[in-house]
Amino acid sequence: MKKAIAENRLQPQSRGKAANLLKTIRKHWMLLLMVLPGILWCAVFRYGPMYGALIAFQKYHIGDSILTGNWAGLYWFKKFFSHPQFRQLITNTLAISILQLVFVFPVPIIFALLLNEVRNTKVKKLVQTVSYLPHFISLVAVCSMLNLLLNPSSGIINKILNVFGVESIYFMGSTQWYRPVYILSQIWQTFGYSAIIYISALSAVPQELYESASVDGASRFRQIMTISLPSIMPTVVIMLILECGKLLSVGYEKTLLLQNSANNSVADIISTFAYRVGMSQGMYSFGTAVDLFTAVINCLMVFVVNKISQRVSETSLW
Amino acid sequence: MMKDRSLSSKVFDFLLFAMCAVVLVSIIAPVLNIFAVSFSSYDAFARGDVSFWPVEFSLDAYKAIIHDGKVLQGLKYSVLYTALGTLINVILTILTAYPLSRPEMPFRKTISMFFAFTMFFSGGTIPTFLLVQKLGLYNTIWAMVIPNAMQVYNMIIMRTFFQSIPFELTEAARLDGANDFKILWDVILPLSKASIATIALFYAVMHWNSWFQASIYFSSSDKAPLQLVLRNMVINAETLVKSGEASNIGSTSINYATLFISMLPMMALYPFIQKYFVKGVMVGSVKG
Repeated sequence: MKKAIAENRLQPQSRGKAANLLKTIRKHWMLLLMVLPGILWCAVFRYGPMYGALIAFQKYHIGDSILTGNWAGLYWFKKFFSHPQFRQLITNTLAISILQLVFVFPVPIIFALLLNEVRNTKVKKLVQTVSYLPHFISLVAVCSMLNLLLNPSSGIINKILNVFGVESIYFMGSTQWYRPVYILSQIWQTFGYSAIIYISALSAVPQELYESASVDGASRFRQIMTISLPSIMPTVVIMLILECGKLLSVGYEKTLLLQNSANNSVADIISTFAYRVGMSQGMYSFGTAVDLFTAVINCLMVFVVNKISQRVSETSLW
Repeated sequence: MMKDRSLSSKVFDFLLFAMCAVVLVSIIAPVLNIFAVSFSSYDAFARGDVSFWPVEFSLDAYKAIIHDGKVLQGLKYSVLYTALGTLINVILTILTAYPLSRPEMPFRKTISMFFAFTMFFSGGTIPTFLLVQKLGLYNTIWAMVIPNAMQVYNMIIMRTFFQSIPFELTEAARLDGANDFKILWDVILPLSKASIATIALFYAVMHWNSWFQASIYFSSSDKAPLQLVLRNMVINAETLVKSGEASNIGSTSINYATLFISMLPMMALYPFIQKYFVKGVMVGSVKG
């Protein structure tokens, strides 16, 4: 009895809600129609593969249905964690991402700080414009350049080394040189474009600050450290946090382009391993499981790092 | 005291000059070297005479490329994928971003979350590949444009652009009896030409530079875009050449020429389009 009354009391309200909903849908049907293709596309091509990733928990063969699949639990994950290459893959992946954080990340900041001090506006503009150029060169082209220019017999770099009496180095086939080449080329390709955000933050700093500092006798280096750097610090923190969220997902395509049988012991990373077992060897379930492992960790990293960012700098991704 | 300061200032200026020089040389020199080798004779290159300017100017490498046809075909397909892909991208991005920029849009928050989530989590390469196969897109040109019909990040940038348009403008049109499609077409789009150009360029560069999709969605290389042709020629071929073993100088010259062709369109365009990129980066940084 009580329940019925409660339901009776609830019903008109919820019916009113539904009617309201219908009304807003009818009123804004055009907006909803516009967004529909995007939603359908996203459902099929972004959420579809998430459903497809269930094969990570199955022994999937091409043509199998996922619904009635041959479930295997955590078989592939266990197989990955106990794989003889597992430690090497983790080490290589972390090595590249940490090297990237330490050596690639600061370069655009230093570049922006120094460029800000260049007084000749023509030179400044020229240097900045040229610094973007590598961003517009494709990854394949950059890796092709490395292959050609670092070639031990015909590449210009080794020719220059020879002039100074150094013997040719087979950079691309050496485990020792793989990481330096990777990191240096990464700096080369990204520093100018990444600096945009810092340069524009610097352009917002009032000139009077520098003037009064220089009247007080502060050297230009001191001005950089006390005025310029603090003013871009919030941007630096945000970029750093975003960078941390990519810990396990660095350099998939680049590694695929640079790895070969000679450098593979340091080049091979988790994502290229997943590609190899999944796409090349056709073990779809295994490859998907490895990818899923990375995707989950990356997703967690973003959430954790965003939480920290909310605490520390009151900036959040959402 | 004064003297000392001006001395340290001079040292500082010299350091700045050095930095500018390092940046310019490290970026221009490699490109110049590729240009030089590709336009030099095979002999001059084999002798090791070529550094930063063509020696014994020759078009042999380019003639060989035209004769072979593979690179030109790649170029053709790259243009096709870039044009078709960008067109689809821009239409879908605008259609999605505009409603989500409107405060009166029903379920706006939910739909935004629906899109945003995919930026942080994805099913991965292999399930996407299996899906493309299942939908019958494998080995068709549609595999190059449909799975990437939109980048959520670019859609959010577009939405931010749209949100910056004063509300009064659209309200005035609405009072005149214009519907949402008409407002988008007559009010929003004419005001957003620069922003649309920015987004279109983001997409165009993405398509032009992409090679990975082509490498997994085509079983043969007859529809390969230029970047994939380049990869197959330079990277796969070069890694076959072991250390010390001299590669065929003619084919290496052709590789330099192919590389130069693949870089040329973007290098020629970028000084004119870079300001749009700068703008896009700025908007993207304001709020994700």
